Amino acid sequence: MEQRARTLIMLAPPTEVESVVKDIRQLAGSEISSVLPEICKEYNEKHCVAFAHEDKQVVISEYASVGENEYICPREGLIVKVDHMSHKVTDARPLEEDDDAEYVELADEVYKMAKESYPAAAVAVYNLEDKKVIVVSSDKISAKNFYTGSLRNVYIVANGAVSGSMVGVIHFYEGGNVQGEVDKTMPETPAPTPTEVVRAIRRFEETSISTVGSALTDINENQFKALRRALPITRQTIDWPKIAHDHVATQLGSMAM
Amino acid sequence: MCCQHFIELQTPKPHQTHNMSDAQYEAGLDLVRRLAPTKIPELVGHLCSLCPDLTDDWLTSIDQPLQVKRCAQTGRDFILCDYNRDADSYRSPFSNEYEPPLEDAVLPPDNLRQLEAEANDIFATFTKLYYESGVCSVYAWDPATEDGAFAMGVFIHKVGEGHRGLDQGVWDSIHVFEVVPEGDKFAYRLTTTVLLSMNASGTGLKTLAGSYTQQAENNLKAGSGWHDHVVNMGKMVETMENQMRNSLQSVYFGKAKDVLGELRDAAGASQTQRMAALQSSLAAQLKARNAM
Repeated sequence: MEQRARTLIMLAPPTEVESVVKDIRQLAGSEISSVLPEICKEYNEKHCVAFAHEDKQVVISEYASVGENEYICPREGLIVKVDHMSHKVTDARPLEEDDDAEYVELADEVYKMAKESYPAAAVAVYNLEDKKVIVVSSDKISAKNFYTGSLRNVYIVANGAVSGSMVGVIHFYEGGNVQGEVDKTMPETPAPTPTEVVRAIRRFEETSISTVGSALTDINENQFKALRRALPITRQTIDWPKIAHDHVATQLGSMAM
Repeated sequence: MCCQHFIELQTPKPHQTHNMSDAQYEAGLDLVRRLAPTKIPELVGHLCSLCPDLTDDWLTSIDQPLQVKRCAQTGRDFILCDYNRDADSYRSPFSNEYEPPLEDAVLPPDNLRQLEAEANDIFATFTKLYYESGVCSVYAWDPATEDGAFAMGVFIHKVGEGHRGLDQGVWDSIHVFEVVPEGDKFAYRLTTTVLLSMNASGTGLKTLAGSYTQQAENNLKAGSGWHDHVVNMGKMVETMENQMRNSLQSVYFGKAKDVLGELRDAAGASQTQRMAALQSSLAAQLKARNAM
């Protein structure tokens, strides 16, 4: 039961995990309640879910964990305690400023980039023992137009190089459920300075988005058309009385033989 | 992406349970709308294990990718779905026999079997004209609702070959008609689901897949015999599929690109801000001029 609940929750698009958890609770009953917070924690960390806190957004991730449900939020200068089920910040205290010059320079460059490319996203740069980690958590919810979308970019900066990934889900739910999944990996790229790290990331993201964009065009023009034609080769809709009549004629013909 | 003269609201297919199970049933359908469409068969398995009492409901109300089997008698491919299933056997619409053979299996009444035979031939022509090489099966059954009513499903399964670095795509159409006599006409109630999956994994587009459902109702005349019914249903299927194909094309290829653009602002916020600043300064100038 617990394993099923975990598997299903892990399949949720990041913008809809709260509704999915509600459904699972309904389906699995109360005996699942005790393990749900743990599964939600795993989900939120893995999918770098952002929680709203006052007028800010804080990112939950395994790299930010500093204690029992406590996470550092370097851009906001906070340590927050959260409730993984309700997606709420229950407590917040100031985070001591990191004065590691190299880290500060990288963080400044990343936040500058974020203002340009991700004005509405939650972004964090973490200074870990052996590496620095950049997380971008960008969500879009448009109930009016029946879609949600999420993009998660995680980059590891270590030994003068940057590597990472961009994972995205787009979900349209008007009259059904249509989803597109994007998964791009950035191979280790030499980038000895913060400026070069951000430049490499920018180039990776731009190339990734444009490759997916041309794949969409390509599928539309080839694969999709080959699956089902817009109209028969005659460019006319079918004359149903005629094909039904032809069918009867063939039947009669074969009977006469 | 709704079509105007089509009924927009979707009513879940009927099921026989209440209260607690109703809430569970709704929760299950909500998951079907939210979780990755490529995982639907897996999801159905989990739902049947979590709520075994609702197994029949899950199997009849959740549209799953269509499977194909070769008819042992005729050598023609036919589609396996809940509408030609009895226990673990499936009835071929060409031979009218269950495979593997099944004792006491339920067969359609003779008159509906006539409809089935005629409709299979005619929808095979439809499939050829629109899909070139798809598999099509039509099944008819007695909904046991009222006198003169009948039900028919048209199922089409098409696998597209991989093309220039693109992986294969799959299109499944599921059309279910309920036809009820009303005065001197018949009410044709159609529910159509298209399941479509494609990808180009080499480009980072891992999957592009989904299900999309629409309903339509038409009141039409039909003479005796099945001929007019098949013509009426054929026209509705064609109109519905053509409209849904257009909607799917705009969602899969147009809107998907737009949303990606919203998740990462390609133009850059600073440019957007500059545009906004320019617009407001122009507006201010116009206002000042008008005030003169």
